[in-house]
Amino acid sequence: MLQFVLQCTFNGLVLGLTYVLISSGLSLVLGIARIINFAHGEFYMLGAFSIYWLCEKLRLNYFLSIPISFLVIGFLGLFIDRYLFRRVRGKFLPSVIVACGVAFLIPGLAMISFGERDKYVETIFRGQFSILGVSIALERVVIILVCLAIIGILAYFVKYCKTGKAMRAVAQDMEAAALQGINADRICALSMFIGCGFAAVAGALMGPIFFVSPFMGSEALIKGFIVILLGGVGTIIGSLIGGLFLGFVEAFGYSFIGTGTDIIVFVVVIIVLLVRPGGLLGREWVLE
Amino acid sequence: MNKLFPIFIIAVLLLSLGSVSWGQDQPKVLKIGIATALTGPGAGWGIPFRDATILLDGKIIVIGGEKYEVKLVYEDNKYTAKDGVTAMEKLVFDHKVKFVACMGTPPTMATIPIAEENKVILTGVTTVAQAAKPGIKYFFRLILTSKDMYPTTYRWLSKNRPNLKRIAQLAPQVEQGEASIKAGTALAAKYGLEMVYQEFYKPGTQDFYPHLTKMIRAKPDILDVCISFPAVTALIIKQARELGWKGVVFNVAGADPEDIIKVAGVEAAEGYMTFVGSTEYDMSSPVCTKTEQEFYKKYFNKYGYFRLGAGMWYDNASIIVNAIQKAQSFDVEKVRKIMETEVLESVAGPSKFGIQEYGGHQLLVPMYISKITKGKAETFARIEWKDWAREAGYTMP
Repeated sequence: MLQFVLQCTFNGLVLGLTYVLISSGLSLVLGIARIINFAHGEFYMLGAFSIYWLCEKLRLNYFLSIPISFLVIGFLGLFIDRYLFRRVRGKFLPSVIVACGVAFLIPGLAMISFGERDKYVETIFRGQFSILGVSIALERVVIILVCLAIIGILAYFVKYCKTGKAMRAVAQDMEAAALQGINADRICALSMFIGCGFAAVAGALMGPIFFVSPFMGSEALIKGFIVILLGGVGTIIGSLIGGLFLGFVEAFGYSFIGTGTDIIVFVVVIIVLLVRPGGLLGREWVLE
Repeated sequence: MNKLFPIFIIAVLLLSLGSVSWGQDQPKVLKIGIATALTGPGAGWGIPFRDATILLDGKIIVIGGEKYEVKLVYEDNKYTAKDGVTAMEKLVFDHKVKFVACMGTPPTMATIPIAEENKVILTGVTTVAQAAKPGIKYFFRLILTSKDMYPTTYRWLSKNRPNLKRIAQLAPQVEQGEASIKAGTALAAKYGLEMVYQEFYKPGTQDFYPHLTKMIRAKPDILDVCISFPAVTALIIKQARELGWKGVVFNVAGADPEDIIKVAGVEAAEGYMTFVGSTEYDMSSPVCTKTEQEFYKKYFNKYGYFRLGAGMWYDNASIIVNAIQKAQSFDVEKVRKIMETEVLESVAGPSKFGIQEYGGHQLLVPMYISKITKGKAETFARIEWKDWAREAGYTMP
């Protein structure tokens, strides 16, 4: 029994940290740029495709490919923000429609560019070991380490760096931040760059572990939204708590209960929103 | 305007010349509709389906002394019921086809009513038993169902792997997964197997660690992945091995070993077995017939590799063409009669539709058993249709 619980704990940790990585970018964009980025899952998908292209086709080193994926997809996010989202910033319905349009466009273009077949990226971290009877795959250890590193970097950046503080200021009050001399447009663009880049890194990490498909983004988007609803918008600690919570509920739920776990997750989300509409650590959102 | 008018007339004449037959013996066109998953998670089967049927495109047949060229019209059914209906409606109402080959359980089940209502011959690969039954006139099935395959599969396992007693099932929460769970529940005890774990997973799942952790706790010897998609099967095998489970994995569906090995690795894929009731096996195997081996060569020459299942997918469309040739008519009722009563050429050799319980609309093909050994799928056993039909308890002729 102990071994079973420990295995579930490890499974939950991996799942949870993956969700944190996916959702932190989404939370950043939502909290700062005020865009409900329904295309966020597609940036995750593009990150997976970029690692496929860089590692399998161009035979680049995997560790070099991840930051390249971050930059390439980050710049794509920047481009989309500059020419699409900026025009509808502050307007709820138009921004939702634009985001949905982008969410439909990207997988279609990915299918045309990369083909419909599932793609496989050969992992460089094959093998597993056992601690206290818990099977630990090497590639999942890498996920844990990379996720923790990225979350740590983001938390440090937002808390201690000048630009990070500017991002927090814009998230709190865009107009007041502008009055303080902060270029809100630039900060929003930066949040989009980092948010999409993080989604790409998550996809790049997951690509070799699962398989790469033009349709893999939708599931990631749903998980991302669940995490930020649970943890709260615009808070990294909230994303961490929400992501880990979701990961552990799923890991233990599927292992102990089975198919009904999805229902439990949504019931928990509804209860949290009823009690704390802004999520566990976030503030309440008002539609403008 | 006056200067332009003659130029316009000349242009129209030149364009219309292209459509004029200069008395050459141009064959007419026989359109066959192909509804397959060109996108979506089912594309792992759907695209090989398309690739196999392409071998039929352009074939010339003679009907009533006139030449007809087979032209395949493709529509994407995305392996879903909703898109299957859309694809079928486009084929029937826009393209005006009367003969359709469909791939995938959800779209096939959804389009049978359209075929019945509009008198369209529909061939399909669906493992759900109730798709074909007495009263269904226009649907013909080319693949065996879970109800057909599980008795023979369990019998084979209990006889040839007597040390493997505890069986687990991990099924996608779709029709074919539910049919597999139902078959497994009904049959395990009859063949001396103990069902220790049964679980559905949501389609789209990629991380199976939670499910497999629970499964491993039940200590199964064998895992049945219940007609999971090839890429998903590969993930399940890979993750089960990562969790330290060393049992045998099998599927009552084909999967290209290339997919399994690329994801799971050669070592993890070792011993993976498939029990398939269709031409979903390596046709270069010595247990295969001459026609199967010839088809293997034809496919290999075109694509440079051989996809397991190519024969079945090709047959899905070619058997309609063969029936039309035999009927010497495009009349749907005449073709249907031929399909119900006559022996038709297929990749597996001369084949007939039969099985009273299926309204006589099940193609009587053998089952084949394959195993991945050292990175290659080897087909090593063939079970004739009378054997699996008897095992499944059907009325024998």
